[in-house]
Amino acid sequence: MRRILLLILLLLLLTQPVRAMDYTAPTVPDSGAELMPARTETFSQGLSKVLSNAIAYISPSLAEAAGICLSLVGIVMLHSVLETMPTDLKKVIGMVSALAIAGILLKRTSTMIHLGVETVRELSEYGKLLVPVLTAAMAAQGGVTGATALYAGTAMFNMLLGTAISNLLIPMLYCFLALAIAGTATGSERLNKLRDLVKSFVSWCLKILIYIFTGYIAITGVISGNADATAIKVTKLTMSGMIPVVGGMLSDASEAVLVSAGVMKNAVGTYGLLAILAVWIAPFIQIGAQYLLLKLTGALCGVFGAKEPSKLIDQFSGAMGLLLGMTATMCMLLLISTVCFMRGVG
Amino acid sequence: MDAFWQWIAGAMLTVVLGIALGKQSKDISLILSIVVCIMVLVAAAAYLQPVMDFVKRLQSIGLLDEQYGQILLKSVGIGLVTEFAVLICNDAGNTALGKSLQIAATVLVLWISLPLMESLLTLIEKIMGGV
Repeated sequence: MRRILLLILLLLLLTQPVRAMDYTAPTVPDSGAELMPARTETFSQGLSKVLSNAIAYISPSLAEAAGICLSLVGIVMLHSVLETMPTDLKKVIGMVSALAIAGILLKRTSTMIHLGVETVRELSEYGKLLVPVLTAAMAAQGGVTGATALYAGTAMFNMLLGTAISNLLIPMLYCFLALAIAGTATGSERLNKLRDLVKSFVSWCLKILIYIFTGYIAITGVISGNADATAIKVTKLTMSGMIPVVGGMLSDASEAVLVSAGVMKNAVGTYGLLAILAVWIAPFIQIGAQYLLLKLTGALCGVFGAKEPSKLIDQFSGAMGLLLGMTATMCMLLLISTVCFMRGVG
Repeated sequence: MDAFWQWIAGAMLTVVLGIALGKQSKDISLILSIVVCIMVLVAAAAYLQPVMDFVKRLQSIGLLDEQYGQILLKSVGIGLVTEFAVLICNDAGNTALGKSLQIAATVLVLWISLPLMESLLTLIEKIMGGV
């Protein structure tokens, strides 16, 4: 009897605490929470809900943007009266109308830039919360090497892009706008060339960052994915071969654990994808609509024969395009890494 | 459209009269052309009014600061009147007077647009503070 009791006590000492891991995606930031669907049954349903919510959410802002474009048309119509003047006075009045256009558009553009910066910051912060959860879920599924490599890459590029946008590219965008206004007001060709250089620099920075990131993801995905798949196979074979009697059962059970971890990871990933889109979509549509409206206004003003004012309006729409590129790059970075996490091992 | 043909006919008649009178009295020819120019401009101004009303309506839809529209309107007005005066000065052979008028109008336009430049500067300062 004493031996049996000792044996039971020894067995109790051998037990390990076990608990189920719960992977939940971090809550969506306030700006995106209003657009998130109540239930996320499938990704496509969630996406259509996010889109329809976003369009309803930004409608008042679009009306305001359209109003600004109409007042621009008014200014350009006034300016077009001067196009027939042969004297140098045309240049001075052209400068005044360029300043008036800049005054109207700078206020709106500044608001849009703040919106873009805020969106990039929120996406970056959300990414910092979402990626560790996905990393843990992927590691639980057996992709330890892949999860670590993906986490390192995403965290590094998230930080790099966020810092580059707020500390380098946004000031460069303001610099681009200043050069565009000064170039139109003075008619200086040198300023216009400098403006084009700044624009190319910003767009190349964004392109290079996203190319390096996708390259990194592609290379680490292939290398670490194969390493993890091999490690899982070897572990399963070892388990079923080395452990007598229950080895096969344990190997099958581990398969079930891995599948359930994968399901949880995909649920978190789907929620994460929708959350990223919910944060990004409203500012993107808002900035995109401003971009298109300015393009349209520029084309319409060109009809009146006012070349310089319509060029300035085009430059402002170019700035909106760059801002769109910045927010889209940050969003793409997070979407690509989330999808890579969801793709998992193998 | 009828008014347009009338303006053209009036201008052509003045040119012919000017050529005919020019040989005997240059002064009368110049005065005649000035009078006809003023008449054409006054007649054209009546057609410009609906355009200005439309521009003002566009600006009110866009909730544009009235100051901007006023400055631009004044600048365009100064530009047109100066242009007319400079051309008459040139016709009368007073090119120097025309040039000085042009310079004076440029200074006036810059003076009028000062509030616009100040508001732009304030906006830029505000933006620079936020960056």
